[in-house]
Amino acid sequence: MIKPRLIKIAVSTGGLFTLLAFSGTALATAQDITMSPTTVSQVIQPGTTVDGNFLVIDQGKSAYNFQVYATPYHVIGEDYTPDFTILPNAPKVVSWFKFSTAGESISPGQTKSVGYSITMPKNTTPGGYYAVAFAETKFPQSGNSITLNERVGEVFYIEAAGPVVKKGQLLTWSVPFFQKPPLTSTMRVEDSGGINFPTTINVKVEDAFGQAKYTLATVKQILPQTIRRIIVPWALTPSLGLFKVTGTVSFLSTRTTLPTRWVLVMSPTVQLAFGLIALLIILIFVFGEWRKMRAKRQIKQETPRHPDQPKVP
Amino acid sequence: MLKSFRVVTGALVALVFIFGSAAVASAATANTTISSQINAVISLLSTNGTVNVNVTPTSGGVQTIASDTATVSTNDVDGYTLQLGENTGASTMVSGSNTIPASAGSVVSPVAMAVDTWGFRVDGLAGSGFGAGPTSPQSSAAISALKFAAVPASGSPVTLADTSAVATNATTTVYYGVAADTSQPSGTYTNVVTYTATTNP
Repeated sequence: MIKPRLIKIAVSTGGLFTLLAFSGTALATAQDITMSPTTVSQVIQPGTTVDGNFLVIDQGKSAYNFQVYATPYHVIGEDYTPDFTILPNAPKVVSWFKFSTAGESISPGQTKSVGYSITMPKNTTPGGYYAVAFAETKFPQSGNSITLNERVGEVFYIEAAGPVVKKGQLLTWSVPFFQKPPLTSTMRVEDSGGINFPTTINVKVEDAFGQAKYTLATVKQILPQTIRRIIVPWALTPSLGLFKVTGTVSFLSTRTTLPTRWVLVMSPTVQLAFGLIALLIILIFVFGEWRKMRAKRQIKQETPRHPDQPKVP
Repeated sequence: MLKSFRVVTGALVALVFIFGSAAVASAATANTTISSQINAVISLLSTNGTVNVNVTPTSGGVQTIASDTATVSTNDVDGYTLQLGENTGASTMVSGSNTIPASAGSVVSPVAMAVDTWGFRVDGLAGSGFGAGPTSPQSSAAISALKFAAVPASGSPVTLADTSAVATNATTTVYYGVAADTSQPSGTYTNVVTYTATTNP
C-alpha cells in the first residue's frame, strides 16, 4: 500500500524538479545588459586627459562575462545609420581611450562602474571627434548553435578645444499636400562645419479651424560634414482631414520659421469610399441618360405617321 | 502736548517696526528648486544566449528554424538603433575543418534556403526582401519557401529597428535557419553574431 504512494510522491516531486530545472535553464541563458549614461559630451584641451565612468548593470536573472572596448563612431547616409568601423585617414580616436577594466563578470542585480580616461594628443586639430564605448556580453559557445552576444554603447561627442568652424543650413522642408496617414513632414539639415551642433525642432499641426492637433519639440544632433534627414510623423493622424503644418528650426543661434504647408489627409479606405461614391454617381448619371434616350426612342416609335407624310424609301 | 506727540510717534514707530518686520520676513522667503537628473540608460536582452538549430539531415535535405527575440529598452528621447552583424569576419558555421556556408541571399535580396547553408530572417523588416512571413520555428522539416539571408559582416550590420522615442521592452524577433542534407559532415557547428543597441544622436 505504501509503495504506490511513495512512487506517486517521487514521480510528482521529480516532475516538479524537472519543470523547475527546465525553467531555470531557459532563464539562465538570457543575458540582460544595461548601460548608463548613453551619451556624453566632453570638451578636451589637446594634450590633456579627462576621466569619467559609466555603469554596466545586469538587470537579468543570470550572471555573465562582459568586455569593454571603444570603437569609432560615424553615421552613414542621411538616415544616420550608425557605423563603428575605422575609416581610412581618420584620427584614431579609439587609441585615446583607456578603461579601468577590459572585462569582468557580473551577477544579477549587480551594477559595475567602469572608469575611462580620454587622453587627447597635443597636436589634435580643434573640432568634433566621435567614438562609442561598448559593453558586450561574452556568452560561451556551445555545440550546434549560434551564439548571440549583445552590446550596448555610450556615444562620446568629444570636442577638441580651439577655434572651429560652426556652419549649417536647413536644406529642405518637405510636406506633400496629398498624404495618407500618418501625416509626415521631412526636413534636411546640413552641418558643413567641423563640429556637431544641436538642432531644436518645433512642429505644429492644426486642423482647418486652427485647433492644435499635434505638436513636437525635439533636439537632434547634426554631425559635421553630414546631412541629416529628420522625419516627423504624426502617428495618430485621422483617416480624413485638412491640416496646416507650421514650425521652427533653430541651430547655431539662428531660428528659421518654416513656411506654412497645407495637407489633405485621406486614408486608402476613405479614398476607396470616395472612389466608389464617384463611380456610383457616374453610374446613376449614365443610367439616367440611358433612360432619357430610351424614352425619346419610345416616343418616336409610338408617334403615328401623318397620312400625307411621304414614305421614307 | 509734547507727551501726546511722543506717544503717537512711538506708536507709529512700533507699527512701522511690526509691519516692516513682517514685510522683511515675507521678502526673505525663497523658493527652493528641486532638480533631478534622470540619466539615460539603454538595455538589451536576448531570449537566449544561444540559438540551437540542430538538424537530423535526410538525403533530400531538411531545415531547422529557431527564433530569438531581442528586447531593447531606453529612456533616451531620441530612441535607439538595433543592429545585427557577425561577430568576426567569418560568415560560415564552423565545426573543425568543416563548414556550413552562409545563405547566398542578402537582406535586400534574400533567397529560399539551399541545402547545406544557414541564414537569418526577420518578418516584415523594412527595406528588406524577407516579406511578411509569418515564420514558424520547425525542426528538421521540409525546406520552406521562406527567404533567408546571410548575417552581414560586422562592419556592415543590418538595422533591425530604428526608433525616435523612448522604448520599453521593444521586441524584434529574429529567425535563424540551417538546411542540411546527408552530404553535410556531422559535427558541432557554431557561429557567433552580435546585436548592437545604441541611442540615436
